[in-house]
Amino acid sequence: MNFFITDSAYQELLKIEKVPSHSDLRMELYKFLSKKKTIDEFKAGKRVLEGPGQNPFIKVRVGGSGKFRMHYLLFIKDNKLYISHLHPKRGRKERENLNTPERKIALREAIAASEGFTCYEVILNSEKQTCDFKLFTKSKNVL
Amino acid sequence: MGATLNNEIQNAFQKVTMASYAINQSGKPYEELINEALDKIITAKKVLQDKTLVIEQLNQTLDLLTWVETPMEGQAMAQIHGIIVLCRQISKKLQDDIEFIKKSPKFEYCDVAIEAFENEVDEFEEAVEDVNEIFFDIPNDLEFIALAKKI
Repeated sequence: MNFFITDSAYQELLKIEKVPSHSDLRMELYKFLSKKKTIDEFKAGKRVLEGPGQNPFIKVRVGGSGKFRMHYLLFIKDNKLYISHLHPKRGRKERENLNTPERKIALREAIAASEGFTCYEVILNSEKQTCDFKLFTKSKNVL
Repeated sequence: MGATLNNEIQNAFQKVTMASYAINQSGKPYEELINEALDKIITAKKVLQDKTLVIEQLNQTLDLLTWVETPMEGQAMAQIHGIIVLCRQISKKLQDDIEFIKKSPKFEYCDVAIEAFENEVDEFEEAVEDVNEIFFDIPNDLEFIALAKKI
């Protein structure tokens, strides 16, 4: 599996993890992404939308019910997952559910990232049990 | 003087005897009282944990429901609408539970169970609104439909 995160979701992640009570966000994200091995396991969540290509846009909870919520677009045949929204459920920067216009923005950004717009590759760092991020474009990988 | 002193001693003796009787005989032993209180706390915690498990299973059911193909026929949509209405009623009852729990100081001994319960209720409310949006709002949203064609 290859994991990516849209530019705006990445910028939001940087802000969220600055809050001391959410400093475990990367670790929780690592646990979520590394625990699952197959596409089917990544389909366990709420399907928000599925296109004619059968690529679902999914909402999941990360780190348990009181921690974080995440939206991602799953490209089944390509084994690729694009994270396009993250938010905490409790504490500072907490927020309610995404509304329909916000979900549309999240989906649009995930599609744009899959088409080559700026995004980051999510690299699972098993040694430190965390996630690292590397700027990524479709044509070439930029360090 | 001697008689008054004697009366005072008698009076004191009587009061001490009565107090001793009252202290030794009235009510249940402390250990028993504490055990009863602990039993009630354990019962309350168990009720909360059982309800949390039921809501967790309900959340999984709603997650699976979102994977049903849309759009669907009228009868299926009516059933989903019925599920949403029923879930909103459950949600209202659960909110009443939370309100009661927060007002009752005795529940402070079950703080971990309460937190898990509240989180699951929160997840449930979110899930109900998600199901409503997925089946009744998104399929009618032309912009969303256009985006779906791209994936």
